[in-house]
Amino acid sequence: MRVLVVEDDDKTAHYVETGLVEAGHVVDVINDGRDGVTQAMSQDYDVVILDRMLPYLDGLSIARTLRASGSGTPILFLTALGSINERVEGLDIGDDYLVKPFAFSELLARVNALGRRPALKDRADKLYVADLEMDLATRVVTRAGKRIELQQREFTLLEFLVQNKGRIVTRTMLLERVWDLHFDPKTSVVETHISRLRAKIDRPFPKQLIQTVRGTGYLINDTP
Amino acid sequence: MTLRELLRRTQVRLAATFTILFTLAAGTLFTLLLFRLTGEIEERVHSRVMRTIDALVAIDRKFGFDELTNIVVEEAESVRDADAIFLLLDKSGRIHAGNVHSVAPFEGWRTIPRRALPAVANQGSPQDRFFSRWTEVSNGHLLVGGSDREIRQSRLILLHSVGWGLLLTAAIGLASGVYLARRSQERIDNIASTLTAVSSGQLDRRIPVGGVPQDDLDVIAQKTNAMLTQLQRVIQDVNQASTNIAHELKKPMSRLRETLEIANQKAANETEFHSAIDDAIVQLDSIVATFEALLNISQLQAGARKLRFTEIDLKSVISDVIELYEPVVEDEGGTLRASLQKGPAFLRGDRELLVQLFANLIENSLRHCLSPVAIDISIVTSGTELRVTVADNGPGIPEAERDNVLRRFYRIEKESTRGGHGLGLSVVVAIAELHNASVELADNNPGLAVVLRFPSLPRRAETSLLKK
Repeated sequence: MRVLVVEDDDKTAHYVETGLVEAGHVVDVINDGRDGVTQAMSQDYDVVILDRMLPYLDGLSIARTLRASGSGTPILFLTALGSINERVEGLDIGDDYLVKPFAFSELLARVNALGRRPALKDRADKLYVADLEMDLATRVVTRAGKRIELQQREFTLLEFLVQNKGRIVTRTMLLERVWDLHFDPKTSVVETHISRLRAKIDRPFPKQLIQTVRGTGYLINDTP
Repeated sequence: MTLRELLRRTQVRLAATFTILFTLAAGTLFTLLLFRLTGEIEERVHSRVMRTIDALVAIDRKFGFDELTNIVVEEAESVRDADAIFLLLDKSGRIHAGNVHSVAPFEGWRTIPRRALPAVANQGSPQDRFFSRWTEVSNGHLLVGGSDREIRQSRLILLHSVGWGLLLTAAIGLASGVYLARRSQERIDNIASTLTAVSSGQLDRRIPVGGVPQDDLDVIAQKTNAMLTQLQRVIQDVNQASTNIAHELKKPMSRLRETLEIANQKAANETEFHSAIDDAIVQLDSIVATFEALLNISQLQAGARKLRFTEIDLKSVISDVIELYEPVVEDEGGTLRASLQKGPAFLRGDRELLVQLFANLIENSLRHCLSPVAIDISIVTSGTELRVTVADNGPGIPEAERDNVLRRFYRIEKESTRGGHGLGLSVVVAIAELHNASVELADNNPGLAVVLRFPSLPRRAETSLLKK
């Protein structure tokens, strides 16, 4: 994927660039807001990563300019520590946000999820992983032809995992997207819910679909 | 007090102002009186002169010019203090009698100053003027004049009485001003010196306030004292918080340093290094989480979040939180139950924050309770109040500690090993305050009951249906 990083802090920019390049992405780094907006408009990127605070033009204004020009390129905001109000603003315009400091695996998971996010009209009514089938319209889940009863939130959790099939989703992403939680619970909430979901869709079957990625999150996959 | 200082005092200024006003009023009155009095006395002198003339003319008519001459000679000689003038001339202009000379005859009244009358110039008062008039008599002309001395004397008396009166008034006014100024000066000095002491760091100094008398200075002193107490509390809270933050962060930082140092010295291979670094990252994340919680509390206290408030059914918030935590609680062998009233419980608020509030309370209970934990959440609406109680069966909090635990970083000594960053309840309090809710810690016999009182929002059923 082509990723544009607009970040004025050299260390962070280098950290992000190195990591994304290693993960196989093509990365452009711009250090200020004015050049950032020009670059974002002139080239076709899959994901734009914007720092909130930038010289000349802040991240929020860049995003507004991009959206006003009709660009639908997914935008990920990087926000400073503890800026809950900024985050809400950012989500109004952008597609995702990440609070500094962040683990690189978290950023990578989010960039991957954003870059391949299907457009709304392309969304299928049914999702498949191996022998698991999810019908989004009737909310029926079957595996190997057997119907599995899921609670509403378990369904949402599985749906999010399956939509990101083959890509890692982090614990924080799950908290945000499935439960709309924007703080870090001190107890193992996500782990517990995943383990309940596993008990229903994985345990009775020989092949385990949900994999744990240590220290990062979870992954659902076709291939073992 | 120097004069300059004295003049700055309110009371002195007031007294001076009133004295000046009074002087102006008295001055006006004096001028009016003077004009009136002068006119009156002049009139009297005129009529006295006229009476004398009438009497002398009658003598002239009755007893003849010679007798008139004798009488005028007598009168002129008997004049006391030279306050009257007489001059009797015959038809040829020769002087027959009188105490003045060289006054040419004239028509009507004329005022003649004494210095124009050489014969009497050295007598009486040099300022005397004579209201004079010539009259025709049988064999010549008669001049009679009365002095204006009375007018000047009356003026002097008037001036003296008004002057002394004014002087006395001014003296009393200024004296009372100075007295009042000195009296309040002491108290103002007290206020000033107290405020100086406070700004130089003696935060516990207060202005001495007298018992019963409640004048404006007392009110200012009391209000100032109340403000000082409030400020002192805030400053102490800030100091306490900084100290707590320092302590709270020093511990994990030292642990982190240990981890890294041990890894540096003892790690035998790459795997061990990696695991040490992973360990360090986990520790750092927890430090960052502490900072984040602190920043969040500050942002909550700033209140900008209120702009995003919407109408929320608290029941749905609590249902969500319970759905989120029920599996966790069950896995630990505990129970998480809610007894929610019928009908929605609406309030204005921020859903995300309210979820965090209840999540924090549940996590607190989980952390402090010994298994099996039993958490009960209930909502009761009474009047305009939504009362939410989160109760557990844990060790509870001793009554004496209840106010303290709501403060940032406070942790009961023996509990310090239980984890968490000690800010959970502070976040709860900050979120509650943002929603104008009160937080009260009570006994659940056994356990802790956290009682939150939110102002409720009366909603009609159809509105709530529309919202869904």
